[in-house]
Amino acid sequence: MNVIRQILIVFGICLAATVVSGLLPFTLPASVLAILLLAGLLGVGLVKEGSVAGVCDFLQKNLTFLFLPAGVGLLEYLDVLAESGVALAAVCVVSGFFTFAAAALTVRLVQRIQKGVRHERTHL
Amino acid sequence: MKELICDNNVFGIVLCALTWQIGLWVAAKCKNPLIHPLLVAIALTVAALAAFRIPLEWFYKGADYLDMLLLPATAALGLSVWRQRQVLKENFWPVVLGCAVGAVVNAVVAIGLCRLLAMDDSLAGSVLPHSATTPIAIALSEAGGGLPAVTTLCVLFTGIVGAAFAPLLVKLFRLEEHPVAAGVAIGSASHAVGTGRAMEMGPVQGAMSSVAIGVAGLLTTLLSLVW
Repeated sequence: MNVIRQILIVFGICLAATVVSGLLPFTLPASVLAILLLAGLLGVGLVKEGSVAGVCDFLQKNLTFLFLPAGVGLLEYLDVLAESGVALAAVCVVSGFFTFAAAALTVRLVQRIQKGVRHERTHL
Repeated sequence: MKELICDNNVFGIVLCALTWQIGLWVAAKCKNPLIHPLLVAIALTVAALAAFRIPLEWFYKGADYLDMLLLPATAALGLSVWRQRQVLKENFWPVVLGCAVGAVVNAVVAIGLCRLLAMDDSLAGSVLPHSATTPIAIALSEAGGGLPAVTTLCVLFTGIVGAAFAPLLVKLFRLEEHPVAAGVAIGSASHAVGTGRAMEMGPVQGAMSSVAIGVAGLLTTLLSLVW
């Protein structure tokens, strides 16, 4: 595994995504563009799985750890948290619950419709 | 002496790695799904910085190197989505529509609650992307005038609560026999932290959940463009 070559590809994609994100007239995060770019390049075969897997798997496996610095930034907002922490938690829990319900019920509905269509076709 | 130890490019990284190790150990000991290693590590790091009166500026001299890796680590999600292309192809419409409706309901309920609770814009901007995966949520929070640190905590909290209650919700909505629906719902609501729990339920749940992180993240981003 040529690590530097993998870094070149993965960071190169990130650089391209950052540049494009900056040029766009609306906000599309560089991280989202980078996901699309990498998946797209893998999809059309311009990038092979083996030439990014080492670096990507390493970063993915340790992704949670990388949020630590961002989380520590809350030190500056302890007063905000003390004041509005309960409200923030309530928003997270309630909308999380409805998201789960909406996603689950939609998937079931679409699956049922697809099954129905397939069923009809076999009976025609 | 304090300056010599703390005001350099290495200290922040060492402190993060140390508190992370302690966080892993504590979480393994507690076996309580609400005690997440990252939560423990954040609390310990904040406590250490406050107790020794170490300026955040010194901490970030090193910690920024870790923060810098978030972008490539998120890009790596592209590889995960590409690896799941077969599952995604087979369940394209259920997954995409499930994530889409989930993302819309998430935004509508969250915005409604923020208005109801009379939150100011920066706070609302911080909490709105709470169901997206952290790097996407942070980017959206910054774009929407939110506070990235508060967003990180909201995302983490949502993920931890979602993961803890996922088995109960699966029972409540009778999804035991429907792994695709369970996976999409868990991934949509509680991103990567929930996906860990989905993987314990089964390979289909895990795969669908990780696909949902990518798809729901993308759709949340698109939605925020319209909003």
